[in-house]
Amino acid sequence: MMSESARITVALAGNPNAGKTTIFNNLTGSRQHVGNWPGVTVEKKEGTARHEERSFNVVDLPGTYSLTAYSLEEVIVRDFIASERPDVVVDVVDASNIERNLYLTTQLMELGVPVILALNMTDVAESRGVGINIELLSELLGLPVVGTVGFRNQGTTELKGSILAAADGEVRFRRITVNYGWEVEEEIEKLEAALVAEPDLSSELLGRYSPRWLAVKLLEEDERVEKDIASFCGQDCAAFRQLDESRKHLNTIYGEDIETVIVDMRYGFVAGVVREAVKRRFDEPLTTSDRIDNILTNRILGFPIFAFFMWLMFFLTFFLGKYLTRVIEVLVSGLADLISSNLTSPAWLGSLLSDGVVGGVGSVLVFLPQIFIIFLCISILEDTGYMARAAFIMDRVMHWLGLHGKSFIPMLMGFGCNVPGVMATRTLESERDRMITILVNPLMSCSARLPVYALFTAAFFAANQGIVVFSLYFMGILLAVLLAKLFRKFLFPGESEPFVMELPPYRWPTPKGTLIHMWDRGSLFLRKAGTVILAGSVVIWLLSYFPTGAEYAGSESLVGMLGRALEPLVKPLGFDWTAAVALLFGFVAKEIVVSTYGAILGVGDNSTAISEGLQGIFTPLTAYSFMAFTLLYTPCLATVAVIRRETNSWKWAAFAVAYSLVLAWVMAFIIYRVGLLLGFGG
Amino acid sequence: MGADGLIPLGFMCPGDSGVLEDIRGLRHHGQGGPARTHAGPSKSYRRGHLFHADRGHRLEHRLNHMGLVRGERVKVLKNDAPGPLIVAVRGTRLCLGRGIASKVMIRPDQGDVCAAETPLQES
Repeated sequence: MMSESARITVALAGNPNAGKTTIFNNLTGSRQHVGNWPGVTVEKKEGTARHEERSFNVVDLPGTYSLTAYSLEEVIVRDFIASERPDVVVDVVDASNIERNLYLTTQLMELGVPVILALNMTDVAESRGVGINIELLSELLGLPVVGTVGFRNQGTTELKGSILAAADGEVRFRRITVNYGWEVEEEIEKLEAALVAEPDLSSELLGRYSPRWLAVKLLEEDERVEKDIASFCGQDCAAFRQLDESRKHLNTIYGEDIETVIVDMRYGFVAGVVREAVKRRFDEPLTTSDRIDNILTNRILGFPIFAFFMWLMFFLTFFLGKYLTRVIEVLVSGLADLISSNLTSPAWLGSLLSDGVVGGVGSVLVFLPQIFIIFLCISILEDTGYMARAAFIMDRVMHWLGLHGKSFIPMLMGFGCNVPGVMATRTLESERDRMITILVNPLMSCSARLPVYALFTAAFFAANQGIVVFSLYFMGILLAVLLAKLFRKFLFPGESEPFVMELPPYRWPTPKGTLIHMWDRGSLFLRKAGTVILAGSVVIWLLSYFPTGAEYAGSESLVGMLGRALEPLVKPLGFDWTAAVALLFGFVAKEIVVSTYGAILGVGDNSTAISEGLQGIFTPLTAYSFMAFTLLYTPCLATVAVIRRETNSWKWAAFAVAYSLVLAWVMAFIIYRVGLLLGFGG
Repeated sequence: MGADGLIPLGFMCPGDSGVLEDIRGLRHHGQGGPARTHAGPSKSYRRGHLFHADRGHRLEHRLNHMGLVRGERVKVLKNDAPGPLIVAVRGTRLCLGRGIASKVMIRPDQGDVCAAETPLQES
């Protein structure tokens, strides 16, 4: 029975901020995994739900307001529904904001799949004086409606029950469609006929989409559908001739483009449903969320409060992180001791495990707590709804850069990791704003740089660790600001797109949701430690150990020879060959800079021993310029890959690598030379 | 307030409400109603007709989908110039940049006592 019903697939759709993720977590619990949609970097979450001894798959679709072809997310949603044909689509609707949410519902209904409405946040709706007659709503839309309160896990069992009932065919869906008015309907009919008559279309496209849906989309000037149809029957087949005729005809009737007419009709349909089934106070009452906004986005208080939250985030990361780091340090060095005392022969194996693996991976692993704390903070900022306010507050500053507040969110995420930072630029509508935000994102000092700062500041700036690390973060921000201005001026000139953004109501984050959020992102680092960094560490160990006879990681070893070959490039910055090697491998992942030194110095993860070793290689001045170089030079491999995917261009990925390399070199050079002049050489 | 009784959203004061009548300067093609032909093509639309038509489309779509539709009631919650506004539409709160707020035209509910006093004279 389990295996039979396990094949049921349920897709979750809904507007952004409708509480889709919470419903997803409630349905699946911890049985979920994150991947990407094929070919794109939009996150794809899947999980398994259980109900009455049966289980079914749940796919979390990206949050969208509509199903046009204007954004990647919307295309993903409609392609998934059309080609995968999920057994049930659960449309998560924010009850307190029902009109706008139902707009998507009308489009899901048009796709011709069974839709269940999860009317979420019914508690918020009630507190705002919005009363919804669930039975009537269900009747008017012709589909089952289940009331839920995601944050309190209410209605989950009922929802699961409805899903299974619908998948079993026990629910009758009345196919209700939006009526676009007789003139439009007449043209839709003609177009449908033309499409069905098109011999080449029959199998592929019409197998997935209904003729009516295709006809409506054609009238809406949907580029994707036009392209799809053209690929089957060419640009000037009968269907397109009919389309031109229909558009012309409707244009003369309505005097505006048909797209708007269709959108208006859908809203009209929604308004009709809402008028019947929803009772609300006429006035927009001030909500608790508005009252909180009065303080948090206050003209005078807003910025200081925001600065305080940022300070708190970094305070927790560094100070709380430091204590947790010690715990891991003890565990890792215990492991290294265990290995080196028990594995004495063969000598190379002991060395590989203790110097290479534990030394390399362990020296990075100890920073895991800090990485998780910063992701926890970012998740809380997002889940409470404060992130959007941060964008609001920073809009003035960002304006000066020729960007707007929304660009600030990817920047802030960049402090956690540049990969999600770059991916978060997808919410920016303007291609130019997006390019600038992507290109400067790597300058936001991500948590992978933290191990490098922690190691070097401990060795050279023990007294002012905090100030030195802060200065590096600040340097990154300052350069990002300057470069954003330069890029705006020379690479992407022109007016910026209007700024429109939804401010979701404040919410208490659920511990479960926030922890899952943190884990999704932070666990990437764990995986990285187990794969890329492990491999990097082994390679560096190999290069340090061979050729046999040479001193371990000495200048006669392979790594020494490689380093000396590259040394001339970094010599003007005051670095020696070890820095050249560390930076070379650091391109894979910046933490590897630390593990390289762990391996080269042959002292494993023992940070005091690494510190002492470093003091023989760097002076405080070169240590600082080395940290600056590490901050600024080429984004790590994963970031370059994501820049390439998001800009869809090798050219821009190469540009990001090139400009940052030049920037790093120039900045390190300036720091070193000016430092020498000022007498900081010792 | 213009002769048509409309004022830009950006000039309304916190607490003011009204009905969205028009979003100006979005589209410069087609035979849009008379209300839409107020704004001439702006400087940024140098790349030609197709480009700006498409861009205007996209924008109007986005605004529509976020609830900014003609005939909709809006209420200004926050308007601290310079900086974006916070507006209540259909139960949600939207943050609108000043640029777009000057194009969204509102028929105010309660006259325009506040709007006439402040930001209009600044510029």
